[in-house]
Amino acid sequence: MLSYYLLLLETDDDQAKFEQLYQTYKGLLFYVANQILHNEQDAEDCVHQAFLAIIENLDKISEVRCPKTRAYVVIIVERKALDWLRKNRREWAADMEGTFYGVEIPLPGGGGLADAMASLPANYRELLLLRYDNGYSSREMAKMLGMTHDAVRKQLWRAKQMLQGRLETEDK
Amino acid sequence: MKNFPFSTQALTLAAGKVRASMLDTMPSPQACAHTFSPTFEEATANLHPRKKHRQLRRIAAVLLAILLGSGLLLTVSPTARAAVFSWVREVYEQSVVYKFFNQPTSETLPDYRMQWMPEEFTLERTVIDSDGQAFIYVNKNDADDGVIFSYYRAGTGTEEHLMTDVSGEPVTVNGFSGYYYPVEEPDETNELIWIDDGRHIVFLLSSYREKSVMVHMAESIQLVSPTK
Repeated sequence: MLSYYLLLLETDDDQAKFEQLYQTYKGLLFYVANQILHNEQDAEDCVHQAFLAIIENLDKISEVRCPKTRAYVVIIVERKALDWLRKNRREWAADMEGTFYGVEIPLPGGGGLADAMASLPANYRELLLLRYDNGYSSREMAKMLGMTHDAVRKQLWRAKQMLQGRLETEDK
Repeated sequence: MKNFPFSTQALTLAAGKVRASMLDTMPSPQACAHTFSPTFEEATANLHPRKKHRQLRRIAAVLLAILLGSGLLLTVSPTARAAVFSWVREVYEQSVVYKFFNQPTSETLPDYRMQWMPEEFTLERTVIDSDGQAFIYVNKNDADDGVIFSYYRAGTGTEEHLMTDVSGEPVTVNGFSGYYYPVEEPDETNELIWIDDGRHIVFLLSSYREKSVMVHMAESIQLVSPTK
């Protein structure tokens, strides 16, 4: 499979970078997808979709072996897995409002903003991490997540509103 | 300022903690060995039609990268202010950072209110923090449209990070100097920031409205009472 991914890349540098990414994270991506989907074949499909998305935005990765890149690839495959659920098995992972929760994240602790952010549904949490931890613009996020700019803008707004709501609930 | 909900700095710090917490729950990449199925390998058939298109796009992307790669740090423009309250504004390629330096004050935070805004907006909630306040307004006709007015007292160690790829346009709001940071696409809020050097207070206004409307809103902000 790796050789075919490399065909999609133009330069030797990009090919070398992607090969390192692929070898480093393919197992982790499968692990994350399988945690959400509980089906190996579906998980592999999502890993494939995730790698295609990563190739499309390879220039956004400056260092392969670092926590931010590791988080980035996890977020991408988590999003692909949740997209798969939305399309195929809606009843399995959505709550009453159709909100999907992905990888379960323990609260960082302290009861503040980080705890509130960690408790958000995956689609909102992912956007906040990509925006504020990875530092991607909403235009970049739209491209890497296959969303429109407007959809990213609105979801970021909703994410902050939800975050604020959780902080206020915590204060009461 | 560390817990102020709408500070980019606070959101950035929180996101870093969430990322660390997320990664801590996962096995290391080395511990996730998986033998992919033959079906996974066969998925390559779908990739061939994309190749030529992808190569053309890569050429364009490489050219763009060369054009953009000339400098990560575009300018640094420190601006020293009064001895009791000083700050610098550092302009980077994708962000602007304000850093503040002053002695802590025991004065209570003044109470400001916005006196004018487009009529479609209504106050949804007020957030009060020990160091600042935020007022969140939403569009009565569009729940995804909103305005956030916030202010806080800046002390040594306080930083305000604005993620923007523009260096900003100087503005004056009620006699105080500030900057307006527009966005090229309607996918993020425009930002207006101005600073009251006398009271050591930083004001921020975020909205999707154009500059003239935002400045109008900013200039309508008045001191309601000297204490909260």
